[in-house]
Amino acid sequence: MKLLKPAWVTHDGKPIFSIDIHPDGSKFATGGQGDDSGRVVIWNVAPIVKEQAEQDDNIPKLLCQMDNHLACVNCVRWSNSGQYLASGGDDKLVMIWQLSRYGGSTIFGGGGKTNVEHWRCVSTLRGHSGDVLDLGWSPDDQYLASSSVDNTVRIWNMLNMPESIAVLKGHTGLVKGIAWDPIGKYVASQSDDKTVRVWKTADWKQETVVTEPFEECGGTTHVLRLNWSPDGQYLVSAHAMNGGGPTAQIIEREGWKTDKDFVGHRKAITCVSFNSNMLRKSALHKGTNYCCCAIGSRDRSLSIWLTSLKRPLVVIHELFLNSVLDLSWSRSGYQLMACSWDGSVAYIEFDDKELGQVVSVEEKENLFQRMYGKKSFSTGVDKKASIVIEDPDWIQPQVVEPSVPSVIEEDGGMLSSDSRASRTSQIVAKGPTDKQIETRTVDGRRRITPVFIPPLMEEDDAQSSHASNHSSAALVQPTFSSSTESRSKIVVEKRDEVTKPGLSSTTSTSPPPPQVNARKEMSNILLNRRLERNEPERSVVSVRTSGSSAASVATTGISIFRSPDSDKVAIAPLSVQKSFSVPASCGRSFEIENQSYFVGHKMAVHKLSCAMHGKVAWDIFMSSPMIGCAASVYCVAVTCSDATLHCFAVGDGSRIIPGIKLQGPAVHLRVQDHFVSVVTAHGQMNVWDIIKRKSTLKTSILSLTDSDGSVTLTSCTIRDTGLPILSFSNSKTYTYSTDMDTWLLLADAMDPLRHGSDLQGISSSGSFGSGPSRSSVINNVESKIICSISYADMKMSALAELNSPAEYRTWLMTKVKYMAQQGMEDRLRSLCEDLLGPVHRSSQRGKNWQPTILTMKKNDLLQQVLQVMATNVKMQRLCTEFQQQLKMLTEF
Amino acid sequence: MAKVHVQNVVVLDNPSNFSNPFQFEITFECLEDLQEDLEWKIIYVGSAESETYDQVLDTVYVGPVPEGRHMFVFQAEPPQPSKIPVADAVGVTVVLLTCSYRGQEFIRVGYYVNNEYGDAELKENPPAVPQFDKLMRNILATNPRVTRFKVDWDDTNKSGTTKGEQIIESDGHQKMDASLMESMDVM
Repeated sequence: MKLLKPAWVTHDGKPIFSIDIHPDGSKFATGGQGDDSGRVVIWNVAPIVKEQAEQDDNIPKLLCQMDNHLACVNCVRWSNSGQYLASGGDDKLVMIWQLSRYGGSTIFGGGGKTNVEHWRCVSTLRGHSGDVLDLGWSPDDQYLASSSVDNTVRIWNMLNMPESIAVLKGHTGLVKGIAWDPIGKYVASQSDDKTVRVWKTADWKQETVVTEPFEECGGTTHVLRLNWSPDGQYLVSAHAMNGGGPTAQIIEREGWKTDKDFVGHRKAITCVSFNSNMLRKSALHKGTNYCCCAIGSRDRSLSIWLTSLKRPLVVIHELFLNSVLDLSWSRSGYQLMACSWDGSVAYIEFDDKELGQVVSVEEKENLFQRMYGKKSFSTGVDKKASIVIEDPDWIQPQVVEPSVPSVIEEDGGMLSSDSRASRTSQIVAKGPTDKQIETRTVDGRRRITPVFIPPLMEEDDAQSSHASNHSSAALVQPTFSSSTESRSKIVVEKRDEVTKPGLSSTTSTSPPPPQVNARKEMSNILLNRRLERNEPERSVVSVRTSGSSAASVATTGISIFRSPDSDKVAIAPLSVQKSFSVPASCGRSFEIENQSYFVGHKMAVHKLSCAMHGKVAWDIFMSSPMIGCAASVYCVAVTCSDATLHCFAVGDGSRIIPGIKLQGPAVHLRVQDHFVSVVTAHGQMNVWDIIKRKSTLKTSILSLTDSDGSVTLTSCTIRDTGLPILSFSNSKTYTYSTDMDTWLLLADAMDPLRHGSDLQGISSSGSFGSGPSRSSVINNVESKIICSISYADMKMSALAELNSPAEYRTWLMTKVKYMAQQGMEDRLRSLCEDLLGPVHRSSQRGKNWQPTILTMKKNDLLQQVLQVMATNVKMQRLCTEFQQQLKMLTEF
Repeated sequence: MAKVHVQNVVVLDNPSNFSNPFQFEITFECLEDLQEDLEWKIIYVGSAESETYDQVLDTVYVGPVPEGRHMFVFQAEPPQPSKIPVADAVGVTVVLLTCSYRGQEFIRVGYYVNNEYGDAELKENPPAVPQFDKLMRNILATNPRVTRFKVDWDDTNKSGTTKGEQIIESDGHQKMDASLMESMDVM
């Protein structure tokens, strides 16, 4: 046995909280405190193993230092593949690191330290509300578990970072340790609440809680890093008590018995780490395998145990000046590293005479096969198998899952879209790559768009590290140096443009369009932004109305300005233009020529003419100058400056109704089929059915404006009921309900609910209210769930009002699917109950029950809902219950 | 977690005449797309005695800044000699390069600057009135002093900036039976 304490592995004397050896054994990571930040350092193993290498200045010792955590790093863990490094700290974050091919660089301001490798943060997992204390990768690297001061354990989907799959709640104290079962069936956690809890990976429910050995535990340790034996038979806890002495409790997989423990340390045990290999004395001793375990304690000592021995193999006293905080075995099984609060690390090397022979991977797999009926590293594949299927019908929906409506695919896609986008975006150059662009801001200051340096990600192989290319240290660019060159290599392109500081052009790399007059420009930008924001919405609406062949006034939007002190509203009326033309469907267009013909002194008539494929079909003279014109296939309407509205048949120009006197000059005119809608400068809105000669709406739109500012009406669509749908520049969409005599808010693209919801973006297939999609900003998962449900409910009520059954169903299914995923059994139950209706006549809830919604039979909907729910095995009982009731209903 | 990390700063045209512009070639990495521009400043410390002699040589907005690595040259005019106290014209002073996000400064890089006459005669007997046109400026580029500040990068939540309470291991509240240790032998 060799023992070494490399003095150069240090965080400048500050505590080192965690250590982990890379699976390929070439490097190791440490985590702890840095200068005013958390620090993760990746070190080279070679200079520790070989003295020769230590003295060779060409062999780097420090490979990479990451000071990105805001506060102390409590845990660093390599994924089993070695591709990723996870770090968790007091800043409540878990960061995932990956080697990038940028090559190294000097640590800026790091006092001459050089990063030989460049590890960059590829994902940040946010969700914990307290310090993250321990981390663990599942055996197949599919999941990462993190334990925190917030009393929870979180499970993250590492195939779709940064998705959080589950929050394991149950601990009533700080959770200080995490251990995965090597078979992948369980994950265990140890907490200050004096318990060890074992959770099932199949449904993330608690399997058991072990309390007895911890009852006497007093005081605290910084961490409680428990560990599972490589054969999966034993879980060994950190700090436990037996007869007044600190122990490491052995918890057996069979029945979670707690008969045995490791005794001898004088103070609380902080960390336990099993050698990941199974061992045997020699090749001759087949079948007598044993495991090897290292235990670190607050008593500053370290003990190594073999399960075949009753006493420890070795105890190293006073290895450190303070508590041992973490342990890591190399994959080879003969190297062990430990780190301590005193800021130092220890390296211990064994040989096969001391520990024994490593059992080959094949043999280990065979053993797993014998013991557990499956090989290791398979958390995901057959996790469903561990849930007992209670009804043979259940086997079917599992298979059918992918073919259940498109809703599900959309749903899955949505959850991952964020990370997928960010992953692909790593390749895309997001700015100029050859020059920096300089513009001026409104206040005359310079604004620089920097040169974007495209990264070269190491996607596939994490192997090619410094080991293969550390000779290329020469490639490391000189840094924070000075240069006598008077010019930089960077080309500076100065543009004579005025830009507004901000990130106005994130989506497109092209700079904002040039503007001229500074003062005018300010307001223009504001206006443009407002319009830009609203663009998607407008286009969506126009898609919907395209079938009804409508043409509207040349003005797309009207701005309504409301002064805050009074209720007076100023809407700029349409101005009188000499002539204009309005294109319409079927090759028609309408030409307006004001003052076309003088009948006397200063007396003129004004001409409206209809052209069909360039030829004039008919002409009409009007007595007042026309300011607006709109047409459908049936009818053409014009408004005049004397506040009148006139309607003519498109075919021959015959007048349909006498002129309608408006309350004020019209500012917005729309004709759709046989409906004509007008908004006047006073904010009055009218809709008339020209055929039936009836008013379908007469109300004010002033209540729809923001109380503080101005909004612009961006689109107006008339439904076949004769009621309008209005969209405004503040992203709100309204319709009018004559039954309720009020405006109803249908959608709000800027709704915070929508941004906090997991379900945003689904309306891409829908008809309205899709605004710019932003990444979710809500970190708190519970709020997010509630937000998503609230958002779906809002959508559904709007769709019910709009009488759009297909979309209503889409949203209903999305909501059900989401609730099933989140395991919201109670809410699903009440939803199902409503769809089911009264089961028997005396039932109370049947009083006001409607058997249909939007012409769809509720029971049919329930059938579909149950199918969607069936994709989650956890819901099987609820599903079966309602299926049976539904069957009963249809039979009688 | 800081979203922007300055990775390198190369001081160009150094050493140089006092009247030449400052040029810094800055490389930084951004971990997430920034919603707003970064604001970079070069501040020349006219006198160590008082901040009133600080001259902001230039301010630039840098943006848009998407996730990734970026590089740009920041050039600023030299300080105005008239604003520098006579006693501080020659000798060592400091130039600061700062960066702010949403009005919060998160990094400050300080360089020592040595101003001295290139002419040996003037070096020996400096004139009472500084002759700025004959001064040479040398920035000690290899030894930047980097100070980082925690700022609120998110617009939404105000948490995450407080930190400091570490769970300290409390020693001595556990009276352990030492005799148990006897059962543990060193092999």
